[in-house]
Amino acid sequence: MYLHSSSHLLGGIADDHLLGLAALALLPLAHPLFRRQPGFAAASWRDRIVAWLLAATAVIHLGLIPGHLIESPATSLLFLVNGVMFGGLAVAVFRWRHWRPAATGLLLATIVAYGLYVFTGRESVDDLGSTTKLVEILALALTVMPRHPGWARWSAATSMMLLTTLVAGFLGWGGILRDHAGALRQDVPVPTAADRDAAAAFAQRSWEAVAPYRDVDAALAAGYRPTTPPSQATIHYENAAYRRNGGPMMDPTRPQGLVYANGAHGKVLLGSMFVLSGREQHGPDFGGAVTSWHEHPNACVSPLTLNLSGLLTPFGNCPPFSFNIVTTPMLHVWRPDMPNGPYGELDERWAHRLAEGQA
Amino acid sequence: MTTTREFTFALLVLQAGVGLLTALGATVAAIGGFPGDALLAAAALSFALGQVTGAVLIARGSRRAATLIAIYEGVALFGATIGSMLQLGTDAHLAPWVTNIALPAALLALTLRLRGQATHRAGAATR
Repeated sequence: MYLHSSSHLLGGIADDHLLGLAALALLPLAHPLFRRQPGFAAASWRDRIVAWLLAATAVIHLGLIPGHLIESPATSLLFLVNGVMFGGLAVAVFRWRHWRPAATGLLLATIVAYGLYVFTGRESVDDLGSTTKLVEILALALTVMPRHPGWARWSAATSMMLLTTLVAGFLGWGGILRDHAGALRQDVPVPTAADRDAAAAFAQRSWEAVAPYRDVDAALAAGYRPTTPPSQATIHYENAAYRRNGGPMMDPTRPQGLVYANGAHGKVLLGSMFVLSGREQHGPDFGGAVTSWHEHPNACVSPLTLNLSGLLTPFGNCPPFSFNIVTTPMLHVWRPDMPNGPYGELDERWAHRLAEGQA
Repeated sequence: MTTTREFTFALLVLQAGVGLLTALGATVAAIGGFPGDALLAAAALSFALGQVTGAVLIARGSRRAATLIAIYEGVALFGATIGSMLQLGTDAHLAPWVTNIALPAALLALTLRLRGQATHRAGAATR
């Protein structure tokens, strides 16, 4: 039972996207094709670079077709259409006078469509998707960049590049947050009936055991401190003393973390959180797939502020003077009446209703 | 404008756009209750503005801007290399590798090349 987190170069690429990356090996085949085009010799280096970037995104899209063919034929069809159009445009750079508006339109449509796809949960953000968007934004930048001086044209082109990067990143972030902030889950076997009973009993015991901490002041007095921004809708508190090696891992009376919702009348306890002390440890999956140990590979912390400084962007960056860390595995055990189950993905609307005293 | 300048301009604006995203993340953390993160957001915003300004000046042929951007990219590359050596997280993945290592490395190489070209032109003019 291993979490998916790994530090090798391809570790951030979904398995069904690896063929998309492998397809880049076919990219050199575009060279003889480009050279045969009538406008190749006269084309500027800038246009040639755009053609290569368009060809790269074409082969990546075509390489993604097999991985989606069974699960989502419609997505595969979109990849095919996209790949063929990008391939055609790469050649059109040397043959067609009006390739620029066409490339601008296709690039913008593809970047926004990908963003909406991940934002709405049809696809998860992965490194190949993010990197391909960077390639497309660069191609867009070189396509829309004016050929002659002129303040207004250059400002418009620069603003467009910045805006496109921001929109792509913003939508990608939306997709990451929807996937429990990009959490990676520990593989677990299919739960048996006994697993389900044990998990339900532990959830009930756990909720009863943290009853004293429904008052957040009691939690603070016991040593719990906020580890996520305290003004946000939900806040995580952790007690460093309970995270030390050798301590009980899953003592319901001493969970390593507590999660509260910020309400109009104060903080409302949503459940407890068990946190392992080391990244290489594996949580006891007594509940089989009923429980879900996970880790967050995209937290940014800063040695200057000594706290969370943001989430890694979809393009893999933290704010300045910050670095990316991978949290140790954790398990949320919510109030037993949480709509998605005590071990499920937190229902934000339920948490909001609780915080407002409506549930 | 030369291809090197155009390409440098595009990469710098791309880097600025990604930097603005990190400013947004730090701003959310600051508003959420970690006020110290506002400093990081301000730093990210300043760097992004500096990159866009540098891109414009490089497009106009400024040797000094190329030098400053080269220094900035060198420092960024050094920091990213140290970060990946410490193996604190997933920095070795493709997307972080592209934006934290490959992009600064490409910009460092391009700005050094632009500096070299400018020096060569200046030398030719004095002869």
